[in-house]
Amino acid sequence: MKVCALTLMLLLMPIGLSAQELTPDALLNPRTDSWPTYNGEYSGRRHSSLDQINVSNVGSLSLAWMYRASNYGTGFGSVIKSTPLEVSGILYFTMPDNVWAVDARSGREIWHYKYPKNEGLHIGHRGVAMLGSSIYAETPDCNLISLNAKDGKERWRKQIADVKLEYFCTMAPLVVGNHLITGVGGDSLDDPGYLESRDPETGDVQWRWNTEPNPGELGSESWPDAEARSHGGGMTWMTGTYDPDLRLIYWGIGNPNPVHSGAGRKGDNLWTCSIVALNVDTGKLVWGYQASPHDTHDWDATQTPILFDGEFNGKRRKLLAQANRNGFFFVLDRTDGEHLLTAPFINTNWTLGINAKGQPIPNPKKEPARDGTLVSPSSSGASNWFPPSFNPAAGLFYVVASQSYSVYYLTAEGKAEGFAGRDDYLNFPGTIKAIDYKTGETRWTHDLGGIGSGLLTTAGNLLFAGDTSGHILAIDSTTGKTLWHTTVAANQTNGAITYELDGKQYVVVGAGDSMFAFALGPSH
Amino acid sequence: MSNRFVIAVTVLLLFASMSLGQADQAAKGERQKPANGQQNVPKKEDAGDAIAALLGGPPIDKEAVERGRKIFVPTCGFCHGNDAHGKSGPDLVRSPLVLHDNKGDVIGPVVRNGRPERGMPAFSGLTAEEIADISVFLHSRAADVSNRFAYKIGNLITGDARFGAAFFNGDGRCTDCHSATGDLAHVASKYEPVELQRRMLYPAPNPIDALLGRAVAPSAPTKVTVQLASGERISGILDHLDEFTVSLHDSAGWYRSFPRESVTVEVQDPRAAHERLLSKYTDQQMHDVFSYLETLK
Repeated sequence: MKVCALTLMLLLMPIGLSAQELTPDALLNPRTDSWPTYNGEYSGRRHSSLDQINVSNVGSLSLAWMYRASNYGTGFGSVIKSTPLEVSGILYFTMPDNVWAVDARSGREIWHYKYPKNEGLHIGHRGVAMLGSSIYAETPDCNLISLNAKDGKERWRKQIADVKLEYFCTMAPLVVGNHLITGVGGDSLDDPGYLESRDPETGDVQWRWNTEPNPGELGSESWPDAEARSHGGGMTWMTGTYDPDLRLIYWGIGNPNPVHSGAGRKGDNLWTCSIVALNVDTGKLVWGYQASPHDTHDWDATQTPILFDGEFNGKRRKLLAQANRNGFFFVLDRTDGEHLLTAPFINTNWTLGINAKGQPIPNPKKEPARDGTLVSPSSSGASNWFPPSFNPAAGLFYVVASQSYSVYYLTAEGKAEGFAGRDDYLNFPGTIKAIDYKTGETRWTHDLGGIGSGLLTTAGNLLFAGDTSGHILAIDSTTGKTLWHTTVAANQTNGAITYELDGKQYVVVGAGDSMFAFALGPSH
Repeated sequence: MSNRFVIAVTVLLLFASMSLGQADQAAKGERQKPANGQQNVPKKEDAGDAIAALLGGPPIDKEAVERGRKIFVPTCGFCHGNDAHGKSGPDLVRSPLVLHDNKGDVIGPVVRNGRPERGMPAFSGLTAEEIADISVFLHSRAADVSNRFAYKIGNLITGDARFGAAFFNGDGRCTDCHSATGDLAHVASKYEPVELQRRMLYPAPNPIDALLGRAVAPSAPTKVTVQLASGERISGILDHLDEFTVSLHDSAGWYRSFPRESVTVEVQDPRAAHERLLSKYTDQQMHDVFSYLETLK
C-alpha cells in the first residue's frame, strides 16, 4: 500500500521539479489542497468544491490558528488586502513592501521579505503570483520582484512603470504558461494605462498592450486628438481572468483621465472602463466591451470579470459576468464579447437609458459641475476591488454592493488635468447581493453595515464574508441567512480562501494585520 | 516631496473607498470625543500640511514655491503658461522631464542651453538656485493637480433661495425635524459651503475629515428603544447596532447591550429622512435648498 502510494506520487510529480514547486499545469486544474493564484483558479469564481465545512456543521467552526504580522511599517495601506496563495502547505501573502510565507497548517512564520522604503503609493497590496520555485510581486514604486519561495531571498527586480510619473503598483500578477501578466495603477497625473506580459525567468517584456489604441486602430476614433489619447488613463490594477481553451485573458480597464472632466476628451475614450479580451501569447485585442462610455465619475471597470459556462436564453454558452463599479451587472459571451444582459444592482441616477449594445448612456447633466451634482453611486462605486464570487451550482453571482451617493464637483480652472474635480462622499453603505446571472435580479440581500472585504463560496453551500463590525460570517449561499459568526481583532480586509490539508478543510481570512484560520472543531 | 504629498492624499481618498470599516471607526472615534463649540466648526487648514504631518514627512517648501513662481511667470510663462499648463510651449505640469528633476539636475541644462531646434531660447542668466526654485514651483504645480483634496470647491450658491424655502417648508418636509430659527439658526455661519451642502444632504461624520485630523461635526444622536422578551422597554441613545448586538446608553447614562435575537429594536434614525431625500432630489432642488440654507447666516 505504502509502496503503491509512493509510486503514484512519483508518477504525479513533474519531472525535474520537486513536489513543493508549482507547475503551469497545476494552475489549469488546481487541487483542493491549494489556492495557487489570486482568485484560486483562472475563472475568477472564488468558488471551492470543498464541502467538509457545510451548512449542517458550520456552527462548530472554530479558530485553528492565528498569525499576527509585525515589523511591516506604518500607513493606511498596511493591512492584509492581499488574497494569500497556498501551495504545498505554505501561505504567501503581502502588505505594501512586505511578503510573508507562513505555515498553512499552524500559522508559523517561515520567512518575511521586506522591500526597501520607497516613494510609491502605499495604498494597499493584493498579493503575489507563483511559478516553479519563484514568488512574484509588484512593489508600490512599480518594480516587479522575484523571490525564492524557499527562503524569501530576492532573485531580481525589474521596473514595470515610472513612479516619478505617479504610477503605483498593487496588483497580484497572473501566471499563464510562461507568461507573467503585470498591471499598473495611478490616475492622478493623466498617465496612459497598459498591461504587460513578462518572462517569468528574466522579467523581460514579452508583449505590451496599451489602453489607448494607436492612430488607425479600432477605438482610436473615440479620442479627439493625440494629446487627449496620450494622457487618457485607463489603468490595469486588478488581476484578470483566463480561459485556457480560448487562450484569452480578460482584463477590467480603469477610468479615463482627466478623471472628472470630459471636456478635453470628447468621445467614448476606448478602452477605458472596458472589459477587454486579449490573446495571452500576443497581447493582441480580440474584443472589447465598454461598460461606461466617456466616464466622468471614476468608475473603472477593474472588478473581476468572472468566467463560467451556462445556459442563457435556452442556449449553453461560454459566459463572462461582471458587477461593475458603475452600478450595472453585465453578462457577455466571452468568445466574441457579444452582449447578453445589462441590469442595475443598485439604484443609479446617472443614465438616460441603455443603448442597443447594452451600455448605459451617461446623462450629461450628471457630469460633475462647479456647484455639484448628486449622483449614485459615489466614486468608490456600487462595487470595488472586493473580490466577488460565483456559485455555478446555484447560478448566483455574489457581490459586495454599495448604494452610495456623492456630490460630484468640477474644480479645474483653465486646463483640466489630473482629477480636475472630486466627489464629496455622503454615505458608505454595504450589502452582499446574490444576483441571478440569467436575469440580473437580486435573489437576496444581506446587510454588512459597510464595505471593505470580499467573498468566497464553497460547495458546502456557504458564503464567507466580513461585516464592518468586526465579524466573520458564514452565510447560507441559497438564502442569505447567517449560520455562523465570530469576532476577530479587526474588520476583514481581504477575500477569504479555503483549502484542505491532511483531511482538514481550512478557511483563512485576513483582518487588519492578522490572518485567521478556521476549521471544524474536534467533534468533527 | 510632491510625490509624498500626492501619496498621502490618495491614500486617504482610496482609504475611504477601500477600507471603510476602519474609516467608520475613525469617524466614530471622533464623534465620541467630548463635543464643544470649536469642534463643530471645521478648521480652515491646508490639507497638504495635515497629510504631510500625518505621514511624518516634510511639508512643501512654500517659500521656495513662491520664489520659483516669481521667476517662472515672467521668464517662462509666455510660452509655458503662468500656471505651467502649456501654451505655445509644452505642458510642464505632467512633463516626465520635470517630474524626474531634483532641484534642477534635469531641467537645468535644458533651461540654460535652450532647445533651439524647437524654438526654445537659452536662459543662461539663471543661477542654479533660481532654477532649483523653478523646479520646486513646478513640482508644486504637479502636486496641485494630483491632489484632489487641495482642489478649491466654490461658487456653490447657484439655486433660488425662494424655491428652496418652499421645498424646506413643503415637499421636503424638513420642518418635521428642523427649524430655520431653531436648530438651523445661523447654520450658514457654522460651516464652509461644501461642508454645509454635504451635511444638508446627509449629516454623518466624514471619515476623510477624521483622517486629515480635522474636527468632525458629530451626528445627531439616534434614539433607540429595545423591548425585552419580558415586555420591558429600555430607551436610550444608540451606541452600536449590527446583525447580532444592539447597544445603547440608557437615560441614566449606563451602557447596556442586548443580543438581537432575543429583543425587538426600534431605531429612530434622524438620517432616515435625509436618506429618503437622496433618491428624490433633483440637482435644482439641491441647489435651491442649499441656497436657502446659505441665507441662514
